[in-house]
Amino acid sequence: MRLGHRRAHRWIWRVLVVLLPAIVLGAVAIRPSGPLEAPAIRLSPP
Amino acid sequence: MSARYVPVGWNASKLVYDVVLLAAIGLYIGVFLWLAPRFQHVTLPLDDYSARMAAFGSCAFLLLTMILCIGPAARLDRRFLPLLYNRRHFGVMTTAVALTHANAALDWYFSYSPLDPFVALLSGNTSFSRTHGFPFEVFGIFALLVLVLLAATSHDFWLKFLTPPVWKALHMGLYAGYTSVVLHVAFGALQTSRNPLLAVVMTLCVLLVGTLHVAAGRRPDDPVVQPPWVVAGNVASILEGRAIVVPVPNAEPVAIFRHEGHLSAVTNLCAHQNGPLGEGAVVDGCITCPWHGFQYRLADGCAPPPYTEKLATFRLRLEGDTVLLDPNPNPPGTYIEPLPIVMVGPDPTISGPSDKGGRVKPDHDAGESGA
Repeated sequence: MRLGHRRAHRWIWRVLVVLLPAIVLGAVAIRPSGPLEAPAIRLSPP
Repeated sequence: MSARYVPVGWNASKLVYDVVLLAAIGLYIGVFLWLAPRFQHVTLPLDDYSARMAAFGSCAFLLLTMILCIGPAARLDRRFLPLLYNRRHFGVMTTAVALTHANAALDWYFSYSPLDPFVALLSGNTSFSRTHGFPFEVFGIFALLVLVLLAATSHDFWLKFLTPPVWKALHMGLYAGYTSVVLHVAFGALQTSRNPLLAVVMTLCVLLVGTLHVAAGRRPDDPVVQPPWVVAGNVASILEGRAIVVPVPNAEPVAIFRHEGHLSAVTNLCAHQNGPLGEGAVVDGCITCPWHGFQYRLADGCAPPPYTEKLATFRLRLEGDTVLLDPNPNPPGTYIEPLPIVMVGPDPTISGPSDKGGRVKPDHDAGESGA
């Protein structure tokens, strides 16, 4: 691999190693708590 | 030289690789569809369509994670090199799985829309200012476009047409694609899933990929050198059939190979995809690239006929047991007589594994999807 590409790889992954887990953990932190949809109500037949 | 289309050259190794991969994908999808209904949440019942969408989506994410792990893992440990050999097919299959996921999503969400499914997909949700309900589909579309572009240009025709530096830069787009996939899942499935397993698997995957790349990038490059003749290292440090890689200031590194009592130096960049030749071995008297098995003669850096690739060669000199290198490259294909090793006393070198395996058939059709 060329020097320029190798340097680019290194910089990109130094950023991504922090950014990607931050995205996942951030998404978990902001997700709404509690049920999102009401359970389906099933009426018994008359 | 003009680029010419050469069909994919199948061989036994590629067939085994692809069959194993296809079987693993089939097994994953089957097990997922069988297990998913057992873990559904009471407030979010899982229908068959959603389960299929999740099965293919999660499969594509895991495959993409594996693709990104193969490169650095092989750099850190040679035992992973067989996985690198046919990574291009791995990438194409991942794209096919991702397209199946996208097709399932279009089918399910927009089947009854009066609009065209693609119009409905892009105009159905425009809540870009909200975190909850953010149109996560845009990240998926972007990632899918990247995957399709990389799969379409993974053949060697495109590598030659675009030239290796441009092709390599284009395929670094996979990093943007992977980030986009993570965002797609983070704003999509992670927001609705009540099962902590998804968040745990996602976190582990991104940590694994990132850590492997950072660890591989930190691998030391080698000793400092000075022009015109530079100290390349001790001859005893070069194993039979192997190479040392010597960094040269403001230029590409040089690989110095040892074979049958002689030393030869060529550029460390494979003419195919700039693979690290110095991490390869001498097989049947030829330098063999660890990435795709491209081969070159030691003395002149030329690929054996009928292939036409050529490497730059370098002059070497021995001072006692110290190898000196002239870092000025000769034109590709220049013959340089291999330097005989004249050692005083016993040779402490341990024999490497060269010449023990069969010929590595040059993989002249294989590109690679990803890093």
